[in-house]
Amino acid sequence: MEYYIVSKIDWDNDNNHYKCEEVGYTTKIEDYEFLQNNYNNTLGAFIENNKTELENGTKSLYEFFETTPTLYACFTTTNAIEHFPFTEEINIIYY
Amino acid sequence: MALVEGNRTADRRIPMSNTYSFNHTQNTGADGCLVIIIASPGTILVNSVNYGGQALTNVRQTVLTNYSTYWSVWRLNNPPTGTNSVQVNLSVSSWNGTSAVCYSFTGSAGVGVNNLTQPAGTNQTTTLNISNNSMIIGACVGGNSTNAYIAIPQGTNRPIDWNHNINNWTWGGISPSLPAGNTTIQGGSTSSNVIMGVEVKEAAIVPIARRRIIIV
Repeated sequence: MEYYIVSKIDWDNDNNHYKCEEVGYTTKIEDYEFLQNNYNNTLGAFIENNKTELENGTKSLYEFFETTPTLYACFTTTNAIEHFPFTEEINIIYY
Repeated sequence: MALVEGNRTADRRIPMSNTYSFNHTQNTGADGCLVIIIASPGTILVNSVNYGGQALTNVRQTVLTNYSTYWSVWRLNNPPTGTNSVQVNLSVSSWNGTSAVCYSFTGSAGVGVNNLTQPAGTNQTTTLNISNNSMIIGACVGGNSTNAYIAIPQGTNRPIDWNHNINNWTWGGISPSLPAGNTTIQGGSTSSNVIMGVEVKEAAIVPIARRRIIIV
């Protein structure tokens, strides 16, 4: 079985840097695709549209998190989650 | 001890930094081995990779001229078991999709030979002279992954374990244990691609020493 690891991304004001934390998993491909599309249409699009400025440091990721404080995404897939720090499958609510 | 493929984790993300991490679970068992293949677009190098705080050894690093991608292979013999963090350290912050795939093994003598065929071609092949009972990880980077496949050996398609968008695309899979000798692998899609094979070797079977009876 494939497990799609769900990550929570937000801004860490203390370190002035984004924070990405694995918070759960889903086994539903439609949830994975929803989170992928949501990421691509938000943070992914921001990065794509501002890649040069982000690379040369004239723009900060903080601009994105000012308007979208928290984002969920799926970056990782695995066939084993028994020892991961979370045990329950996440219930994704579509919005 | 037989070589056994264990857990697999695939990660694709835009790092947004010069370092990132994710979890992977190494199986319990003797002669463990962890192999990680990373495809990083642009001229961004992978400086180091750690698992559970232990540094992996770089097996291969190649710049794919057709795809402006840095492809590297890393291994760790006897890694810590259980769930641990894979930390990827890049030369500079990356704002491009980056792929990492992790394979765990037990009963392994580590990584053996590897081979990479470039420049890009359609349905590209590469050949490895492997030891008996080795497995081969086959990996491709290509212009797209439409109808992508990986055949190890050539003619025997294996499941695609990862298929990642990294400006271009990377995909691949693994064989079961194979007999010794020259083994050609093949991969392709509807576009052209380069291909790499990495041998994972079986741990040597140590014969039980004969007992000697000494009569005095």
